[in-house]
Amino acid sequence: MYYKYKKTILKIVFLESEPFLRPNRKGYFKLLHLNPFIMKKKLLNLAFGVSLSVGCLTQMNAQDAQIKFFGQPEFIYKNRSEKLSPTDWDPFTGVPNETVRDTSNTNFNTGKMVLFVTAQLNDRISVLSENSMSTGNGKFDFEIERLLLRYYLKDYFSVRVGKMFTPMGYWNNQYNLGLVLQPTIQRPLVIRNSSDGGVLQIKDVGFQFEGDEITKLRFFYRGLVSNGIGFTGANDKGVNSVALTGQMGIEPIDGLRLLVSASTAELYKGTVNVNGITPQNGRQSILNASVAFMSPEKKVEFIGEYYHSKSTLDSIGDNFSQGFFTYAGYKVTNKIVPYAMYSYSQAGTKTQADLYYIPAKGVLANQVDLVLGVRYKINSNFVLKLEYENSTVNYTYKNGSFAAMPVFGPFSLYDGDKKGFLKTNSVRMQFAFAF
Amino acid sequence: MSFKINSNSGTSIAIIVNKENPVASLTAGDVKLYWLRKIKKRWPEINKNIRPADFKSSNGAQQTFYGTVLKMSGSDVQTYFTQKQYESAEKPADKLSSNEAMVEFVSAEAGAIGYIDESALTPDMKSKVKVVLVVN
Repeated sequence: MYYKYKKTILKIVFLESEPFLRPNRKGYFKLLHLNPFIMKKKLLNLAFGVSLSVGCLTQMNAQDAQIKFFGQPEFIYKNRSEKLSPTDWDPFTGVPNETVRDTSNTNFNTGKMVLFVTAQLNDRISVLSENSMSTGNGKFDFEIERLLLRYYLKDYFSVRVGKMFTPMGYWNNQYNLGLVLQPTIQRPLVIRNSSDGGVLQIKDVGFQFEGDEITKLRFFYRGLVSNGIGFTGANDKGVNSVALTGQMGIEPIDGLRLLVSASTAELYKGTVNVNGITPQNGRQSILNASVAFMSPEKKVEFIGEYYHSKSTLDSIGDNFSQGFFTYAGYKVTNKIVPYAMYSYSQAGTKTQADLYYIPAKGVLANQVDLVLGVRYKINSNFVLKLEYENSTVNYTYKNGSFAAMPVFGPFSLYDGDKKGFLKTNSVRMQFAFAF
Repeated sequence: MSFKINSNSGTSIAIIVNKENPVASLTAGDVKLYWLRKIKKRWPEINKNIRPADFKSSNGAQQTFYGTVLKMSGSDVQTYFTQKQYESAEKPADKLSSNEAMVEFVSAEAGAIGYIDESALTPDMKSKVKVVLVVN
């Protein structure tokens, strides 16, 4: 970088220092007195030029930065059949709409463009930056997905500071926007990013200590102290509490990982959460257990994860939800891998709603997804994925649940529970690449 | 002293480390674990980062190394390092363009571990690095 900007740097330093160092007739340099405003401007420019030189020279001593771009244009065809979604009723009469509606659509998506940069600053310090850019509905989105510094002290102890994946489960720390690495087109619902309709806070800003490869069982652990739910890490947090997330596991056989995770965080009324606005103050705790076997040497690959959530809201009490998924693939050849994934997510229990995830009283919901796909790895930088997905969301509206919704009209014009559904069949094709 | 193992590929390779590295010899399994940084990120004896060294372009030595020592395809090796980089900001293997560059890198970097076609290892090169395993 220094040599690229050498001319500019030298120009700044020379031009801005020249009036101070003009030689007199005897060859000595003489300090000239100029207008104070001009002097100040030249001093500032000189300081900038020197700083730029020092910065560039410092960069030359660091080990080289690695820059990658990830992209994943997609084609999606969806066919939906829907009856009674949570907002599907006449707001003036309160009468729910029980008509079955069928729709379909076809989309080509650009997906996100991800700029991924890592650098080894010295023998022990590395940095990582992951930024995503996308367009849609006439607007441009830019997000700092991750920005962290890692200090490596020992195999069994290192620290990370910044924005990072929360250490929940296996999938969340292995695959995100680097979709050339991810085995399926999208994440299972229970660990999907909120912007993709998911429910887990997959990233946070904080401090994490971690260790790997401890004993022959290759024990590993992670401990994250972070801002918590609803805070972006941009000085927008006005309270003292922090979220705690911990993970521990073993790798008894190369490629086989068994782990458990847990997190606890305060909930603050009015903060933005993964499902809208947090309705009340409270606390959320999530437990996870995962098993994964993803060895590049073996033909079989498998990931299974279970999540249990307890959200305690001040005047409402405890709310429970859970979800799990299983993924399995088989490498027919080094390049071709057919796979299947089954996912089940339930907001609330069979009899009680979870107002944190669906802030509408008396609404129970679960979603079942079945994905069948095949992955064709052209090379390490280009992977083609083709999937068929069958997804069913089942709603149960407990008697009187519509009374919690819009302001106008009579309450609860019906007796007993109502059932609704959203069934989707889709075909997706993704071209995931890295360069 | 270094161990020897037989490979099914045509090219015989030598696994080389820096002369400062006190490791005398390694098995193929150990080479794989160190080169992929699976059990350690640093050489315990010299407390330096393990720096795996690879070739930029495919050659006979690389095919032997990938097939016999790592038991992985080239594509899987690249994916492995990309995954580690994505997860933990780990630096991928350094890529060298020639046998001479490989020897120069390993001799200059205390934590380096690389491989080279055994027939290309001249006496001058041998004086700069330490051979810890030969794969025939």
